Amino acid sequence: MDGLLQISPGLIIWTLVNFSLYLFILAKFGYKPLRSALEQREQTIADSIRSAEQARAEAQRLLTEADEQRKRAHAEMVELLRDARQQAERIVAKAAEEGERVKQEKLQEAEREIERLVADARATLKREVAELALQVTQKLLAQQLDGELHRRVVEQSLAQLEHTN
Amino acid sequence: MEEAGAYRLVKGHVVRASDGRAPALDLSVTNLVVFQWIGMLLVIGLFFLAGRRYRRAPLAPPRGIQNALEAVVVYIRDEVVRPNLRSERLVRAFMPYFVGLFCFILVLNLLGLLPGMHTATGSIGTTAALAITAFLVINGLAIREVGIKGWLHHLLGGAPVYLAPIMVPIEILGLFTKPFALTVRLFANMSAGHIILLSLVGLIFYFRSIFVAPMSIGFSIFIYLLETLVCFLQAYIFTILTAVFVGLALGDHADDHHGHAVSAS
Repeated sequence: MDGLLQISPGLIIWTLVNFSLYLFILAKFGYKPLRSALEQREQTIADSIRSAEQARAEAQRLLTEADEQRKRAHAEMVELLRDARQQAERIVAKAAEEGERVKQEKLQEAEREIERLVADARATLKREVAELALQVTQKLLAQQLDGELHRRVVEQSLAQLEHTN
Repeated sequence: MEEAGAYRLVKGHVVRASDGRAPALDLSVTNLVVFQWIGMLLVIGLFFLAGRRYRRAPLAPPRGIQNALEAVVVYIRDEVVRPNLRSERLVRAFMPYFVGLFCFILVLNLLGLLPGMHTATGSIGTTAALAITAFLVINGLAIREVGIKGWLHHLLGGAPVYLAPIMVPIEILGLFTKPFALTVRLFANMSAGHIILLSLVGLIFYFRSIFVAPMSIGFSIFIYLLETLVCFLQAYIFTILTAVFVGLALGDHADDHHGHAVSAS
């Protein structure tokens, strides 16, 4: 223990013995629980991180999926709306067309009816005029059926009547 | 021992009572041995204290002394052992050695700072014994891992075979200089601080003046704080150099670069 640089074999041997004993106890009883706890904790943390990562990925996937679904539904809705509008327009157009057609038909019918009525009226008028003429002629004949002149007139009118009829 | 009869203490030396000569082997339990015991008990006690908490709640966040020990252990594992011992199997197997080495040196260093205590690591016997364990670990591990042939091949230091006459002696010398450097570095660092402290205090008595005392004490406090840093630093350096030497001895087989220039204070 005097000289600073003196190497004492006793101290070396004691240190070796002490240090070996110390290492043995430390490794066996001191370090092991610490190591196993550390490993356990590191394992747990790694597992937690991994599962959190997975959950995050899953959530992300679900979110994308929902978003996609929403977009799809929106597109579908827009499509439906457009279809409905087109259909409504078509129906309106068709109805207008139909109305027009019916109107035309009615008009034509009315025209035909009018023509028929006109023809009817004309025929009736003609008959009545003929009858009237006949009556007038009869009356005239009854009063003035004398003389050659009258006879000729009667004949002429008769001829004319025959001609017209 | 003086009373035991067989040996006597003469001027601090143990001598045989019969012929007054030094014994072949002096195994007396000196104060340094006792300080080693105290250090051992302290470290083991701390680990036991922390271990109790681990058994109770292994997943709970670490607290107090447990947290401090864990920080040390994880630091040594991730920064000292893992980068040098590439295989996880070796890391697992040798972590207790490195943790134990670090804690042992650190506690002995710090014990030496307490008033009335001695620094066990400030004696060349202690550091030599620690370096012997490092030597055994370095070469034992290398021989076991790369085989005796690989170990011998490593003595070439990666040089071509025709350089063997030069390289082999150098490398063999290197085998012993590494632990020798470890021995002297730790011993010298720990002793130096104490010698400076002693010298500074001694100045007061040398000058026989009370006016030197403020300066002496001021510097002493500075050196004392510096020594506190050195305690941690030297424990770390001893540990990491041992790890680096193990890594070098494992050599290419641990896919390590072949750098031999490892210098440290």
